[in-house]
Amino acid sequence: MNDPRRLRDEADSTVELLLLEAGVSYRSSDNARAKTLAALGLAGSAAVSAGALSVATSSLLSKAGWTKALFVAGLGATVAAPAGYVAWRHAHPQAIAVPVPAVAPVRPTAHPVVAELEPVHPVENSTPPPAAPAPKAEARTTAASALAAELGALDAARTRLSSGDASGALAKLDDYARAYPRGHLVLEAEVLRIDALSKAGQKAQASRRAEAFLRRHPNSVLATRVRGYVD
Amino acid sequence: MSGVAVAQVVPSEGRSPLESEIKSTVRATDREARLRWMVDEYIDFVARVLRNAGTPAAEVDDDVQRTFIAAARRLDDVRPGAERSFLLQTALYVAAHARRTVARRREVAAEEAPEQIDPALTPEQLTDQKRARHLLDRVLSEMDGDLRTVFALYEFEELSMAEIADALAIPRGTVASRLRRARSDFRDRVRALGTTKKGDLSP
Repeated sequence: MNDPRRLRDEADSTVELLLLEAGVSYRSSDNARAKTLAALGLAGSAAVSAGALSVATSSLLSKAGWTKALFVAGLGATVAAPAGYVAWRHAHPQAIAVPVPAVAPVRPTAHPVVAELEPVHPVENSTPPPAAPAPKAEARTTAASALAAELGALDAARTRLSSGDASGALAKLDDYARAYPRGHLVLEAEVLRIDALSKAGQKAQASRRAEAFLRRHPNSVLATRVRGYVD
Repeated sequence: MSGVAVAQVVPSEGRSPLESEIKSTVRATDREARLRWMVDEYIDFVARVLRNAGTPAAEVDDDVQRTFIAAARRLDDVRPGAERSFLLQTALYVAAHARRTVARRREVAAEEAPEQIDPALTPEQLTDQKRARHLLDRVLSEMDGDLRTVFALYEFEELSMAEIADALAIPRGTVASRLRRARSDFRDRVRALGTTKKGDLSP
């Protein structure tokens, strides 16, 4: 049984092609990347920058005539990954507890075919840049740098905490709050603060903040972890 | 890297506390590196699977987080080389779970996250892309869920039918049947867009 050709290869209208391409071209946001790295306790400066600079393209988009391929290579200097997350994460196995994976389908040895797939768009990373970056791409790079800096500020607190310096972590979190009062990672920072308060012996305050967090964000990805601090 | 390091540093049983600590640290570092690689390599893939599986734009970021947190939790169970397959299955599960959880809608309804848009586009093209995404959402939302999943994996992720059968744990004949019906349904709905009043197509 041979697989049929992809619908995009035999689209019978421009509208159909555009819709199909919209499905293919969707990609993650810088914010999602930063929040994911923060939630996982992974140092993320370099990854955030790399993600922002990886501008997707598609020959089909060109075929559709409403965009052009654009690659941005070598823009900006990525920041070396902070190391504090490793020890912190090692000491916080509960940090990744969410309700989903308990029943998520895991068949680690049953999917050799899928596992051998090439990346979804391998050509995207191997083709030389055909054009200069557009203004919007530059703005995106600036935003990514800001996200990387914010993640770095949070990592400074996490590094202190992982080394046993809970008071120092709280001070760094105060620095973070002053620098990023409307930051993208404020929820992650609050969870880190709750953890630091608990480790600093201020368990009652940690519990109060945990309760407040759960009231405001009962369905947060981080809620499961926060519940562990409620008395 | 770490495997070699472990073999050299901790050659046998009866380790000292320091040796055990070193080994644990090496394992943790190895794990972190693998997890980080998965994020770098597959975060766009995960976001796309979630979005095309029906996750609203405002919830994609959170569900990307959920998917990778799940991956982190089960990382030791994921065979090396099967990361993408695991992430795919988990993302599909997360998307299905999100659709069922009405309560989550309330939290995010007031804050609609912007769609992710190719930054190279002109304003005019941006409008077209946003409109295309909007129309695609409409078409996909009207499709049967099982058909939609097979359609998205085949047409957007370009998995083979055998790979889809494996990922969804269904017979390949079922995949072929669903794909055939899904494509027909998709085309009918797209053609119907052409007969819709122009104003109805605006995002």
